[in-house]
Amino acid sequence: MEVTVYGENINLKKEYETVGEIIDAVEARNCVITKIVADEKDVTDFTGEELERIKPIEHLEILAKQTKKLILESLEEGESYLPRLIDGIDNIVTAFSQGNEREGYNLLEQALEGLGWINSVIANLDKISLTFMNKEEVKKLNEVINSWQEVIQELLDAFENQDTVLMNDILEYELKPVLEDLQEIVRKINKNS
Amino acid sequence: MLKKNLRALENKYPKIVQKLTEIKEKRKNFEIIEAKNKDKTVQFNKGSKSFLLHSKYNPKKEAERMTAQINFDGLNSVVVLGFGLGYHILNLFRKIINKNIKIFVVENNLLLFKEALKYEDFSDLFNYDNFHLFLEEEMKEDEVYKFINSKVDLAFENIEVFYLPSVFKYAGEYYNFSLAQVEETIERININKNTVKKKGINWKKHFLENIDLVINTPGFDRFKGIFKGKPAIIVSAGPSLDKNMMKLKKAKGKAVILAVNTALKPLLRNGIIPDIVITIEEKDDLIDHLCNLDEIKGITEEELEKFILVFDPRVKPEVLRDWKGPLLQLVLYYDDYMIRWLEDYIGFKGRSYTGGSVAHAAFGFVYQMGADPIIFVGQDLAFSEKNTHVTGAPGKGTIEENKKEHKRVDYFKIEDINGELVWTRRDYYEYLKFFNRILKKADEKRTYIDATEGGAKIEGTQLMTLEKTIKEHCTQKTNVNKELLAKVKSFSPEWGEDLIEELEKVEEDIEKIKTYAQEGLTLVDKLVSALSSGNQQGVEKASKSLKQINEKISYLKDNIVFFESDIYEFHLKRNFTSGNNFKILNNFVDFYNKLINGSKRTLNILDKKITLLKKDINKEEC
Repeated sequence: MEVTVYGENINLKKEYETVGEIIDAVEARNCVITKIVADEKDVTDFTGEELERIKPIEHLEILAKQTKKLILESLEEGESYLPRLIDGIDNIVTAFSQGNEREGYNLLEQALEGLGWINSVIANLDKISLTFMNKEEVKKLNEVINSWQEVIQELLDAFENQDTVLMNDILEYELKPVLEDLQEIVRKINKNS
Repeated sequence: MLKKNLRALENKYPKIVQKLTEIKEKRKNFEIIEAKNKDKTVQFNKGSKSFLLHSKYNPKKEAERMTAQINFDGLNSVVVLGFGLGYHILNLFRKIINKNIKIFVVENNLLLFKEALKYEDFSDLFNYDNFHLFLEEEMKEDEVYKFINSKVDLAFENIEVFYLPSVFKYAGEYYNFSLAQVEETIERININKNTVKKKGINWKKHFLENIDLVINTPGFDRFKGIFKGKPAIIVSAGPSLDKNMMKLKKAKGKAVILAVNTALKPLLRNGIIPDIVITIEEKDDLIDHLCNLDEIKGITEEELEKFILVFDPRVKPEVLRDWKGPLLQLVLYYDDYMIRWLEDYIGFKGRSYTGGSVAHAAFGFVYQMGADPIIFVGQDLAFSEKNTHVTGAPGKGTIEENKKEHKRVDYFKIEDINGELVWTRRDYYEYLKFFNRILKKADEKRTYIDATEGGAKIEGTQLMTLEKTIKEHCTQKTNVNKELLAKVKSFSPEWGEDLIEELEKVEEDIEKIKTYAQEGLTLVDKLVSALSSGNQQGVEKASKSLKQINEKISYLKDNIVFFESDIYEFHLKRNFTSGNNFKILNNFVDFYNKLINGSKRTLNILDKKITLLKKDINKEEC
């Protein structure tokens, strides 16, 4: 099986028998795989088992990126996305408080997708925090991460209870400040990097 | 705070205050909690769930956001569902206090309402003349509808509805029911608005033209109950009337036969002479329905002189002048400002409900006269396979012709008396719904029979052929129609000099309106030239004078009712004073011109009527 890695300069000297072994080897070099193509077929979303079933593979192409680089890229994206998300919260709050539940839930659904993405960004922040932040900033980051987790849980509880007044309160008075803090942290990291 | 609020509320709603005072506070299903900004909020408990009624951070900010959605431009009324702790209502009140807008509040939770009175000062709101409160734990059908309807203009009210969204969580059924009734009110107003737009110009003109007849003829009120226990047959002009019209001959003298205007000529041409004819029509084609009856073969002058015509004061004046028999008034519950004014001088003559069609008015009339059973004939509210009306009815045609004539009307099928589908029109369907509604509320002890033998199914009626109906219910001779005829003929009107004085006073006021409007036109000219030349001082001076003129007109506005139809379009403009200066001034020019023309026409008619009434009073004195 011929293996080509794009994006990062990685030499895979050893002969690998399975795709899983190749992925492990790439990830062991602090890289994240963003795309896998087996004989011109995109198999990025295949499970391990599914990948094992494709045999034989003549040419395997992998697009990899260093974790740090990827996080920094997503932080850049986050810096431009967060203000939109914060504005979007105002629209949700207005819709719910004026009784437009359908509109409120539609907007909330979109926001939840964004919040899910923010969640994945937050999960990776600690991997680069020490590189680009001082101790105090790291402490602030940890506080934000804790608040974030609490707020998201409260929001999901209110959502389940369909208590739109409570949802509005959480969105406006709890989530929005956390997002604003996060926006500040992201801005600093981007500046320092 | 509670005492202060209760005192203020007591002025208008003593019974509510009594209920609130007596209520036991044991069974609360909510908790009052303190919000972060120290205001109070409410947490409701429903089963294992709990939810907030207002924000637990800042209820006042939340209230501001809620009312921000309301467009106050041209608004007359706001209906608020849910009082809660009242933050949104106080916020709303602050925004409308100087705009003379009505607030209607619907709330079902007495305990919560009482709780709200402990924390905020509502006394100004409760003392506001335009504040209306519906505070009931249970709601009967139509209660909210009536609560609003009795206090709004049924054609030109602009109503906004908004609600505390969370109230639907703790009393969803109650508030959904309220909302449906508010929406129905708004829907009816929109329908009325269109009707008034189409017919209103004639209504006001006709009322004024008919004013001497309104003064000098009896109202149905004094004859209420006269048909008690006697059968009455309402004959409408639906296509099914062709099938069973001839059977009506057997009912003559054994039931009161009341024909609606469209059915009269087909009946007379077939030798059936009804006892009473009823009309509420303002249209020109009423002349085709009711004039030149003496040209119909076999109808004698003597018979025509016995015909009672029941009329609404807004019908085509020529028809009333041409009518050979006695006249009897049936004033409908509708935009009745003028009749209320007149009643101060001539006495109350009764009011009957309307569902939009003459058949509803006919039902209202015989119902209030006490008839039992009430029998419908020709009441199809739908089309037959071929025709829209009975043969010989003016305006009769096929469905296809009808569709071509009324291109914007919605046509569809509904269930007929046999459970099959039958074509109808949107307006007929609305009439049917109204019948269903009034029959649901009608006296259960009386019998309502649909002897149409076709058409749409009317809920609350028994289906029976006309032949069987007559055989079972019209068995004894009755003289109630003759009794009514004698009483109507012997009516002697009761009014005096004060009516003429009032009419002369109205003339004086209308003359003033005309003069002010003419001055207004001159001022607009001045204002336009000052605006064009950039003369700021001139603009300010003319604007000030214009404002004074408008205030003077506004002071006399009750008199505009006589020619209100001329300015209907201004009722419909919600943004009369918005736009740039020139657009507003154009609106004013248009407005003043319409006031001048309306005044002139009204003064002309009033002059003639006053002369006529003066002759009457002189005759009386002689």
